Amino acid sequence: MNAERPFPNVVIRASAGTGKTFQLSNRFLALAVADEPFDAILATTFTRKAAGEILDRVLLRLAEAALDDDKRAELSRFVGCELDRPRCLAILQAMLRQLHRLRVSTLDSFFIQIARSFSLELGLPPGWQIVDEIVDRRLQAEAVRAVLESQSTQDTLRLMNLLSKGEVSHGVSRQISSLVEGLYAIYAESPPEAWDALPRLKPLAPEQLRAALTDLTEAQLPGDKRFVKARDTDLERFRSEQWEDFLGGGLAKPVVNGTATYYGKPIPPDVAAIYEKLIDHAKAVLLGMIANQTKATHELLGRFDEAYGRLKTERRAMRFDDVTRRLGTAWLGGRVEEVAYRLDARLAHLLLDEFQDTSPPQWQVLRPFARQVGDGDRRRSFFCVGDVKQAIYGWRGGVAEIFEAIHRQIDGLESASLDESFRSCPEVIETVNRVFEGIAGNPIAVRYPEAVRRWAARFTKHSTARHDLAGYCRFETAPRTEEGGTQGHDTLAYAAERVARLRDEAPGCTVGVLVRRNASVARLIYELRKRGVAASEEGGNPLVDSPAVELLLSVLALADHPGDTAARFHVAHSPLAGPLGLARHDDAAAAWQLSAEIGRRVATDGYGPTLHDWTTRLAAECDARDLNRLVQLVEMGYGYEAEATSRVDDFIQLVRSQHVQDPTSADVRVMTVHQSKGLQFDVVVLPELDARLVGQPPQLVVGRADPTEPIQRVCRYVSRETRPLLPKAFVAMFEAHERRVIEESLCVLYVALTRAVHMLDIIVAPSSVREKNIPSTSAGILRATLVGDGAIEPETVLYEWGDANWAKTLTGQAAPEAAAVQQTLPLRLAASSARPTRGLDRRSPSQLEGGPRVDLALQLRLDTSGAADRGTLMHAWFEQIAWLEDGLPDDESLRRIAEKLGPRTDLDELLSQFHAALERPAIADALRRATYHQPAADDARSAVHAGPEVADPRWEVLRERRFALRDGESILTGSIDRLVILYNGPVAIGADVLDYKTDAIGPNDPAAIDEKLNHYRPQLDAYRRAVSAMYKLPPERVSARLAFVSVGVIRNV
Amino acid sequence: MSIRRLFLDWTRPSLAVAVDYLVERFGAAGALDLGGVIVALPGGRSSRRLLELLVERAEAGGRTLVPPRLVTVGKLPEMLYTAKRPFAGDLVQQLAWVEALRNAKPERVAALLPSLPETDDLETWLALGEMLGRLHRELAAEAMDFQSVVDCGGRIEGFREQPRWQALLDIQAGYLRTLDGLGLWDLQTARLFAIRHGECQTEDQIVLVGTADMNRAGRMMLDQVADRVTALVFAPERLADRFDEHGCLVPGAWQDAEIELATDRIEVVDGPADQAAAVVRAMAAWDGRYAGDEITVGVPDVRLVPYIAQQLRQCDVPVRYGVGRPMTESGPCRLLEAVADYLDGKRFSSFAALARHPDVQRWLEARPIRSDWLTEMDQYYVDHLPHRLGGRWLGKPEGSAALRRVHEAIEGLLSGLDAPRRPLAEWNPPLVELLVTLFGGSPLDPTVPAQRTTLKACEKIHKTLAEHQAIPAELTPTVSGGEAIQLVLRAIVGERIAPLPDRSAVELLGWLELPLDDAPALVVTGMNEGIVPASLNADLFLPNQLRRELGIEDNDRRYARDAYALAAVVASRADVTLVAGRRSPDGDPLAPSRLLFAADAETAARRAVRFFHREDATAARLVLPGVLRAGRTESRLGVPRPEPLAEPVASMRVTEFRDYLVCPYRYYLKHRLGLAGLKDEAEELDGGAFGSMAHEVLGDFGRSPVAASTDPEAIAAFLDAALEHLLGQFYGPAPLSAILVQVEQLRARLRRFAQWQADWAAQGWRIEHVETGPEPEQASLVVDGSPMFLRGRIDRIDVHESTGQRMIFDYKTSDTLKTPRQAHCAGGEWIDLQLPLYRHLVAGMGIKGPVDMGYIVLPKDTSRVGLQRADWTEDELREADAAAETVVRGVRAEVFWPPADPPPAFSEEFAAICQDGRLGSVLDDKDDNGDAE
Ligand code: SF4
Repeated sequence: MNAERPFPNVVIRASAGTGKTFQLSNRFLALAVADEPFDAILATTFTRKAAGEILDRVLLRLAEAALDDDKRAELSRFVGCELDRPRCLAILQAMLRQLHRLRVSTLDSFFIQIARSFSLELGLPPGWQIVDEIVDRRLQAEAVRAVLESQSTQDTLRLMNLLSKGEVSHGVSRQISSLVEGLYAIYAESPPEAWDALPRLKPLAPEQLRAALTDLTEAQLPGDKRFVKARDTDLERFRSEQWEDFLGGGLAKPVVNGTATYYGKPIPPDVAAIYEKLIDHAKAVLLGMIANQTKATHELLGRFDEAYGRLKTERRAMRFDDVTRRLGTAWLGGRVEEVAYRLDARLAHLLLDEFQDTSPPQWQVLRPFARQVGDGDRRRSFFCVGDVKQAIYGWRGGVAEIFEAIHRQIDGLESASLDESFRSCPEVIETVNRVFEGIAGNPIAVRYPEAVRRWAARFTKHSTARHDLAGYCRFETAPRTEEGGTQGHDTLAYAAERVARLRDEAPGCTVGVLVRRNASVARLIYELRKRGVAASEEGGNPLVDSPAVELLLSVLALADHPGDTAARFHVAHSPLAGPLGLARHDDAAAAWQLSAEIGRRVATDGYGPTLHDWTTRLAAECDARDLNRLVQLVEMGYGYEAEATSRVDDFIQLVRSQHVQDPTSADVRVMTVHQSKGLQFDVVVLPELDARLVGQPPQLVVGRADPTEPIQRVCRYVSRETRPLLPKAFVAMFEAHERRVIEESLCVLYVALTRAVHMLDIIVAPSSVREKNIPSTSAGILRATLVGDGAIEPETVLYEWGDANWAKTLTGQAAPEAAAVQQTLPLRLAASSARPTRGLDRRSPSQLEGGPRVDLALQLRLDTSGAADRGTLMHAWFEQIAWLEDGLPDDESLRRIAEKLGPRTDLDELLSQFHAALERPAIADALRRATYHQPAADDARSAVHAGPEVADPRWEVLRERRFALRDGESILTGSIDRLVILYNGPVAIGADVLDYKTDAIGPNDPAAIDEKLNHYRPQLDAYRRAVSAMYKLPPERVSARLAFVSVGVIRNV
Repeated sequence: MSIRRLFLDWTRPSLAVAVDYLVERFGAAGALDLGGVIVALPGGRSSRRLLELLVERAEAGGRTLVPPRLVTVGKLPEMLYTAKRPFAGDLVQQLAWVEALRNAKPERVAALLPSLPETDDLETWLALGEMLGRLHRELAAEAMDFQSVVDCGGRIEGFREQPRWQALLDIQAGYLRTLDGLGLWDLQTARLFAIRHGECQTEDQIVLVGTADMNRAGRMMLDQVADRVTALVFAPERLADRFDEHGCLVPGAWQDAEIELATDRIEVVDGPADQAAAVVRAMAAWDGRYAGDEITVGVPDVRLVPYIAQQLRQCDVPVRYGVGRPMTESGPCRLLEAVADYLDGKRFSSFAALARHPDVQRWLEARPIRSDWLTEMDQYYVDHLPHRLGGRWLGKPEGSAALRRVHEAIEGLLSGLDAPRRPLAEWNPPLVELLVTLFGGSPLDPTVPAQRTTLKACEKIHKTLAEHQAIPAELTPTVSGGEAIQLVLRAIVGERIAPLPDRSAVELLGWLELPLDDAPALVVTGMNEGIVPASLNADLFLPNQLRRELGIEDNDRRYARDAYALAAVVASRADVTLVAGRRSPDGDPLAPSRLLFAADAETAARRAVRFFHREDATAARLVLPGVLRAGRTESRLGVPRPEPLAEPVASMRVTEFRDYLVCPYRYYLKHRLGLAGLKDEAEELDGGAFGSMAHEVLGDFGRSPVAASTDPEAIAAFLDAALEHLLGQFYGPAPLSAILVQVEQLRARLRRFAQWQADWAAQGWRIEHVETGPEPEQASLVVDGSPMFLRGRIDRIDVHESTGQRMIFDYKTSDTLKTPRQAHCAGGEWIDLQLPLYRHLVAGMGIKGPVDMGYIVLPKDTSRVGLQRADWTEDELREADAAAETVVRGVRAEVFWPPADPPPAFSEEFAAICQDGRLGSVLDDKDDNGDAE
């Protein structure tokens, strides 16, 4: 280990397949071995999956080293320190004990952690959450609606007209939505003044303009008809405001260029002078239009931003980039210490993966940390790894130049580069070398000299460690499209054909088909499935690739829209027609009924159980794949419940948009090159390289003073012809933009070519009949290198390298394909015992009052009188009384009891009510011992009166007697207000239950009392059952009585 | 005197051991009188279970049981003292915090909150209040206040948070003052008061069962009644030094503790569904040794519950998740939510959602309203895109008759809530009325799950309303009806409705309940870091270091709690399987729990090798647990075959031909069966509606006196007026803003049309017919000797004043311009026959002589508004007729099969029937990345 700086600050440029993650895990392990606190190490990458892999890798390597001598020796070598077994075990154990402190995460989740600890300072709404894409899209749509609602039609029109250059397309929300989708990120990242950076020139005043035009009309021109004609055309163009045509043609053009000659003849200076005026005017107007458009874009985005921001605050919803931006702009610079405090960790070592994809806002947050660890303190370190050649996330805000600018940001960085692949066979690597080593001289690439020069500087010759791998590269053409067809589609279809064959030739191998556009992914899946190849999109397809799922969605659709006859037909012609009772699509009444039923079912049972039920009914008609998809749909239904809305449509929409991996079809994976990053396949097929290197022009172009700085200028896209009119800085900005586009195109090509382990199959379109030169496409670059000049014929192999029979040399790899036939796992349980004891229902007698059904109106009565409290207090007071003969508690203690239950104003009145109740003969009798010595009145007879027949009577009074016992299928539990037990000697022979009721009842209202009696009967019956069971008394020996204390009535139940 | 600790056998289920103890200590002949005993347990479920065991034991021993008071340890303190004042409810507390926050000195608060919420943003204020309350509660539970933190911070290196805590201290003082002023207390204050004044007392015996983790306030209170307290600690005596004098865990002693556990009892699988499958596998491996009620599945991560529930149901195994469904998913809560949403702006979409609420539907069913109102509502939306309902009804009255009644009914239902802002509790009567109206129609049976859910939710709502009523006037907020509902719902978030008991069910339990569960067989899922144990690695107020310094719950204590729980769980039963996932339901990578490595270093290393090696999990996923079995190797869910038509087709619209050419099957569905989708999701006019509007305006124009005008201004003026009129007629006085903009876009196109029309008229062309067509059975195409009658309306027929020549026109308003040739032919085939067939319509109308055809296009590029003449030769037109004849033959022979492949681009409404998705969708074929040719 280096004595003065154990962990050098280093930047590693790691080419594809050279083991970036490995390097990062080396550094992590080296730090751990050096006893650096684990939580002082921050390792970040871009995807959650990659973060998980890094952590796994670190722990796995350490664990293997602990158990295996060879692995330990290897690890010792990589961390530069001799490790013995106990040491490995100790480090591993320490690390496992601190799993929760290991900071291996995505940048986003690291930022979120900071933001959570600073949410008040950052002005984030309390309880904020990161929203998923689906919710976010909904919010955006809502914001667009709000924008439209909040401004006048005229205002919207003005902006729309500015934006669409006078065209009046009919979709308004759609247009704004797509504008927002494309440009909001730029808006969010740029200050307002950036949108106003284009200087405005002053056009001629109307009278000056008139004068100039008159001058030109009357100007003396050389005696050449062509001069006159050109002048007239110029005037015409000028008057009809065709500014670009005016500036780019006629006599104006040579004046603009400064040659001032036309057909070799000089333009007279006085004429040129007039032209100059007009040119200035045209320029002013034209630039003004561009500036206005840019501003209008900003204005519209601003309005959207306002509405969107409001909604997000309201819903406590944030996006990752909101968090990043707030962190970057609001505060972080000087507060690294505070962050360390709230994060409970002083970060001393930064390990950054995929650094080329960092965006300027992200770098702004990271920079203070990076500077701090890179500040020369030898206990800290900075490590970053990336590959500018794989910088393909420009569209997502990644700015690869940050990687190149890092040396300027942090002092004393060492660099290293890795060019030995641990992934690809020699044939693939050689093809990569052939293409990129010569890129600077590639006749297609040199059409973009600046971009190519920069790119070439980044490429060093690759080598591979995998000489053991058999390999093959092929460059071939698809059939030529017939008239009326689309070559791109046919190339894809041909590729599908090829893949189908490859799958037979190289069974068990993974195949990745990489394309440029999402639409091509869909088309390829279609073509492949048509050929019986089970293909899946990266991340899976929406579940509607299963007809069974579609059927259930049609059933669900009826819930919201019983009038949807297409859905009705679908259901009526399915196996569910019978079970759901919809036999005919034109049976509207049945559809309405079904609609209501489904709505109810989904609301009460939830989506999961409902869908599961239908799935059960459908299973017999399904094949394994459909059933699998149905089960996944059921799962989605279960998971959806928490966010379910009252519209079934919302769930349907979710199913249609959510991608779900289908585990049964993983033969061939189709994805965009972007999605393939970080992945590898035995075979890679590239069928879409015929795309132009310069893509469609963007809507906006942005410029920064430095790649690491915020956006400084924004400008609507300006055509190449008009660009010379712009100020120099803007011209440079457009040039830089175009250069970046080319660089990124080359990156995409590089990433695409470097995914293959064994075989690379590149399929391009044949030369079109009109082709004069090799086109400026990725395919063109490959042609120029691998094939050379001249047209290419259809269905021809143009270049081959390696062994076409490579797959035959693989041994033991041809794993049998996973059987698509479904197995099931049976589950057998023992029979439940006849008398289970777990999970018994619990009932309390008071729940039983009023019978088993509940009248909601009574239940929801809002008590304003405090009757419930009064009842509680009365019960507490009555609880004090054992036998009336033994005396009453004094008012003082009664008041104390009341106080415990809360303050009240009506205490005196209640006290007098209590005393009044005790004065009523029936109540008083019931509480006296003496009463039980004699028989009682019939209507309130208790079971504990004892005459002479009882030899040794003794009464026990229990108050608030709790009980719990088994009552059939449930446990009956509760407490009895007053329970008197009659004993004869030691044996209980009778019991009396007295329940106090404080209900307000009018005097002399026997009907009301009868009604109450009925109401409370179930409760009292339960008490009787309980007492009879507890004291083993026959039921008739237990009396149960209600004491209506307010009217002094006691009734037997 | 201190608490008595008893270490009890942990190789048997803890509760059974606890029952033994109670019987031994309190039992007598024939009686088990626990009337003077308080038993405190960690959770509600274990209390219930203990009671079951006590009842069972008493019954078996023939003893009369007086049950003890059973409380959760969190509620125990309230049995030990008498509060001097009533407690403030949750909302009152939050409002008091808000009050304190609003009244605190701004310059001090700035250290805490650089910017305050808007004054009227009650929601955010309350959320802040809640946050402060939580902080206050957490510290108070440990017998501390914010001052403690200020004091403590001094001992932490680099502590710079004094100003924040000073601010918090101010606010806390304000909060306590506010409650004090109202004569109220919060629970924490009451407890601290009782502690400080030594007021804790009890006459009962207190038995603590497995309460290994108590907060400081609770422990201090127990200390005051220590001579009556017995703590049952389930652990062998030899581990005594891992517990303190209260029987609580000593965190430090557990950090390096090994947990005895065989590695083969741990399964690490991929995603949530795989965890669920692992549960089934583990249960299957027990091979029928256990009944459902002897099995417990531990689910520390609630997100897994649905996956597990589903997989077990799929195996026909009843499951019960005692925690239950969130109350917010109940009918009453969803109703209130929908109502609040509707009250806020009364948008159509919220009306449509509210009206679809099942209980609203049920209520509507009981009224005299036609049952097809839902379809009527969809159709009304499609036709008129209303922003909101009410006011003027559009279209023909009979088209909205039922809808109007529904609207009236719902407006009536909500009338009490649709009123100006007022003090919170004043909304109670209309809210109760709403609930009673919708749910109280007939008595509810709590044994029926759905009704029970309703009942429980209503009870909780009722309770919340009562709390609103109890808010002191000084704190009562003035709110709208919708806000009042939001406040009710706010109190319900987090509440759950337990399902009815199911004695045969496999029980799903949360992690905290597991140690005291007594089922002999257990599978624990979610054994992942961050879930078990949870850890806190960053915090707004109380980072771990501060927590440790304060001696409050920190990561070590969390770990100790879970390590003990796992040790006890594993020690106490015969069969345990632990399952960890690699991926969360959100797709985040997961690491196995640290607890799974609580072993000697060697074992830990072996486990690490196993757990961190990612193998392909696909194979496991192919095995579908349970009874669901695919019935066939080839799905029988085919595309329904066309059925013979009831009657032969006698006539066709000229526009139908195109659909047949595109796809005969979809033609059959659309034209022969008349199927159509119906949705209410449009945000603006679609192409069709935009076109209809243009056609209507242009039709009016053609019939108007200015039809022959050569004055563009006059024409434009007429078109403007007609547009205005139609806008009102179609979309009412206050249409969606998007429509207003669209109308302006249309106006711009019509302006250019006016110009063109004036020129055209100046050339001598006069409009002869507008929206016209032949009488029935007047126009036909004779195919194989018999006529196929043609129907259709021609937008416009012009005739030239001097030459007598005629032109047939169709208006086209799509954004991009297509010539008749582009629209009708592609790749050398006829794809549409509309214009050529117009010739036959015209003939059927008795118009003779040469007829030209064309489009009048109004595209988005208005400079191109004008005529696009059809330039077919006679030969070509004959070809078109031949193509039409082929179509007619096909239709007559009912050749409607097979569907076109690949599916046509615009057939979305039939995509499900035609199974378009089966092969993947190729519909979206526009350039989405902008970088291909
Ligand atoms: S935790 Fe201890 S040291 Fe810290 S403030 Fe509280 S009493 Fe003082």
